[in-house]
Amino acid sequence: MEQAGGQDRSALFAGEGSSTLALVVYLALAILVMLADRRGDYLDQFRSAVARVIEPLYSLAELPSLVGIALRDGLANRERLQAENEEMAAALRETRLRLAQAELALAEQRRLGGGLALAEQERLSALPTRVLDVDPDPFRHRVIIDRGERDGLVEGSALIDAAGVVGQLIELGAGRSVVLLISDPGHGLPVVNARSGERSLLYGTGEKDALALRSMPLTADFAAGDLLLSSGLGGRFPAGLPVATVSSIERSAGAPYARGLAEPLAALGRVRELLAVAPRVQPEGPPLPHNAIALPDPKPDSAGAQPDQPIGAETTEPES
Amino acid sequence: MSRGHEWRLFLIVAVTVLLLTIVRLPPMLAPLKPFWAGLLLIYCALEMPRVAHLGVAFGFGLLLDVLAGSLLGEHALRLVILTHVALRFRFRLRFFPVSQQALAVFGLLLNDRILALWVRLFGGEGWPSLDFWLSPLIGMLLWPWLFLLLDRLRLRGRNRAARG
Repeated sequence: MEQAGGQDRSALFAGEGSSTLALVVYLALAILVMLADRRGDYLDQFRSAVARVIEPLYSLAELPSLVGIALRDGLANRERLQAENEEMAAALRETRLRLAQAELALAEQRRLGGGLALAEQERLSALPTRVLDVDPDPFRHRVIIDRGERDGLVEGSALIDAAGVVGQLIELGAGRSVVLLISDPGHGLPVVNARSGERSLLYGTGEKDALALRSMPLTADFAAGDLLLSSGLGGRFPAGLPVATVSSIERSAGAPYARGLAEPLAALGRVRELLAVAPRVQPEGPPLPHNAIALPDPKPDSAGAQPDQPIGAETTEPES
Repeated sequence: MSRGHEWRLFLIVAVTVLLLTIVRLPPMLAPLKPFWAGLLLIYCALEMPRVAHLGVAFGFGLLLDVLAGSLLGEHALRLVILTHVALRFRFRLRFFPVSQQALAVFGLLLNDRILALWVRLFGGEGWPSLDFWLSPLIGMLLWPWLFLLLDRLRLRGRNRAARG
């Protein structure tokens, strides 16, 4: 009733105030879209189609800060130096990655007394990417990188920089993708303590310079200064990438669990050049259903064909 | 009658707004970035109600979501509510002196911030830091200037359309 009265009054001014019905419809639509986007990937097609159209905007938006950077290091042989520098930085990143892996493998072998042969190390394929100089929301722990499906990037890739793990790819676009930083409060990363070999989960805190260890048993062997490496559990992150150093561990007498803080090795606040490492290729979990059916299929068939014939033969024999 | 120039103005400003939304500011200033899209739609709701259709707000919001890599529908929801409230009160807001109008804009943007927080919390993200709440304040301070600028552009467009 009140609303009808309000509209009557506004009609005097010949306005086109929006109706409550339209509001409800659009709100419902927005909520549906949010749920669909959160629960599944029904909207990926839509998203990538729109993204393709508006991609040039990123390049435009980058211009001011790119010009700023260009002015700052505008020296004589700027281009040559930069190219060289980039090449070397990429090489260094890759070397550190391999080194870290080797280190973990070594540590593991030492722990096992060197008795076991090293499990076959899968080769990591890494793709250098650049973080776009755009910043849609300073309160979100996400960055946009300049590579996508076109460049062979795959969903779930881990992103690392020269110092350590930075985040994981959560949205794959055609030419741009969105990376969730490990400092996001919703991010959890399986880690292993390089010193003691104990595993835990490292969560984001919402601060770019702190990660949290939660719900560890009181007896867990973690101490300040320990190096945390990705453990490779979960299959997203390759094992052995350096992630963080423990800065403090808190074991209060009353609490059932120990908790701690760690400092990420990568400077999450100002990441620029990254390396995208594809997740492991081996499928996790049970084999796909069509494989499971396809494999046993021929055997029952051939096994069934054999008894069939004798029976058929038996039944035809007495008749003849 | 004179819709064409209003749509043209909206499109040009909308593209500018998309750019301003994603452009990187120095770290010190980054938390101060106003909700440009919200300011634009409030202006449209007040002065160009034919453009400020809820469908336009919804579509523009989806575009922002894709651009910002946020949950699809988040900006759409926020802009639809913002536009609706602004449209509902447009007759009062239009006759406010500029200072009071700016205060009302602050209220609208604050409400929008609360909505954004809701979506965030529902999505499992944590509480943002305190400077999350600075943006509506900046929006309020910018409002008079933005209003003057857009009004100037709109009137020029209208005069040209009337002459041509």
